[in-house]
Amino acid sequence: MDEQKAGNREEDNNQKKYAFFPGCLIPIRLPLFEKLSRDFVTNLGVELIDMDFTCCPNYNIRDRNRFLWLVAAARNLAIAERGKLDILTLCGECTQTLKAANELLKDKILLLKVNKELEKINVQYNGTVKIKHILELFYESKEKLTGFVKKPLEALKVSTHTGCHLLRPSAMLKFDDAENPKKLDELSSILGCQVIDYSTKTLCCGVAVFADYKDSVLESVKEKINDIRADALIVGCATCFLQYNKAQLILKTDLPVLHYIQLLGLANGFSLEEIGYNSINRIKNKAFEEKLNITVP
Amino acid sequence: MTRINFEFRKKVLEEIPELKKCFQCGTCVSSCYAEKYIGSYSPRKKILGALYGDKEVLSKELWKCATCNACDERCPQGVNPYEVLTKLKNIAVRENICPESFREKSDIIIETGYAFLIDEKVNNNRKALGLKEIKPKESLRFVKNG
Repeated sequence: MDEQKAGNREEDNNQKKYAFFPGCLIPIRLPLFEKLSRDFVTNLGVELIDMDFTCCPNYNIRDRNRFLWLVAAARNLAIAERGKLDILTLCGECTQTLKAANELLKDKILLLKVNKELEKINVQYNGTVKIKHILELFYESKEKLTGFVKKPLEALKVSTHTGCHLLRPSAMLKFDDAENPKKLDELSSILGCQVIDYSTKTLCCGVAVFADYKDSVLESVKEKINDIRADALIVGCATCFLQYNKAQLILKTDLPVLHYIQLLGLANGFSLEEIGYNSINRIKNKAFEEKLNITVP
Repeated sequence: MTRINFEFRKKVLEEIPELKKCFQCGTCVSSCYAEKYIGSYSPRKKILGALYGDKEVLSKELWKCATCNACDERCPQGVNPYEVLTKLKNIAVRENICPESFREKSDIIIETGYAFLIDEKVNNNRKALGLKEIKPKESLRFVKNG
């Protein structure tokens, strides 16, 4: 097993080109995250190819018609396969959908049924594509990532929230330990941050049910925010990013929430303005802002 | 005593045969976000209800699920409750039982290929960052029963 893992890793490091899958939320609502992601990934020496992808599709389609969900996901996988490329994702939901669909399509009978539908639009999927989230790419490229650090964030204490759709079910997603995720912690400490663990680390942000059960979700967000003893919460998922900003505005709590790509930007020497803190982030905190200017001797 | 609706039970088991693997341990319940914060949402009871052929399991309550997947992660029997509940939602949607907002959200994806509507402002923001313009994609309606 270990040998196989090591083999995969070597193969991954040699891969310099990916089909880029930015999803819907980031290109439409958070284009700055797309811009930062494209720039950092390109600086790792990785080429990103834009392809004719649709929505992954998300759980709204999965809830409505699981077969449609699978066929539409397979269409995306097939388009990457036609270009002989693996997929690089930015969004938690896309990562879960594409990885889960890819696992399910290992069932040859199901694949046959799906391909029958794909015939109508002249594509076929053979099950050869691999899916990688940007944090997985960063984790594999830890040494190069260290080279991006121009301003180590040594005075900053952070806690992390990876995001449900990157973690679970771990048997399918193979991203991190789903009960005790550590990769985002490690990626944050590479940038100089002190990482503070906390007990509600894998608690869901509740965004999917926020519109219909607002008070319940606010209760859960409050529990999480109160549990964190850090200057900022670093998230791996853009949906969680928006949710923790929005919910805290109602709760009137003030824990800054940053997507990892923003934290990487800060460590790379970008200003708060340049990472969207003044335009995208809705929770501002003076103490956090001041800590960014402290250099630990 | 609970009466079993054999007709509905048969229909559900044809679509969700993994229901039979559930031994009602309740691990899914103690892992469940919806049960803890929203309340009155037990994946275990939904599974038991489906096994009894109880049509009451097809309700808007199914949309209390936050899609956190903790039940799938921890289920010791490989029932994958999240997947089971998704399949129950599929049946509910066919019977026209679902929240109003749900159809709109999924319609946008089916019609435009994107989960959110794209307006001029979106592309202006993208242009300002030097990113390419995006446009609605081909419809996903090519799939039957879409």
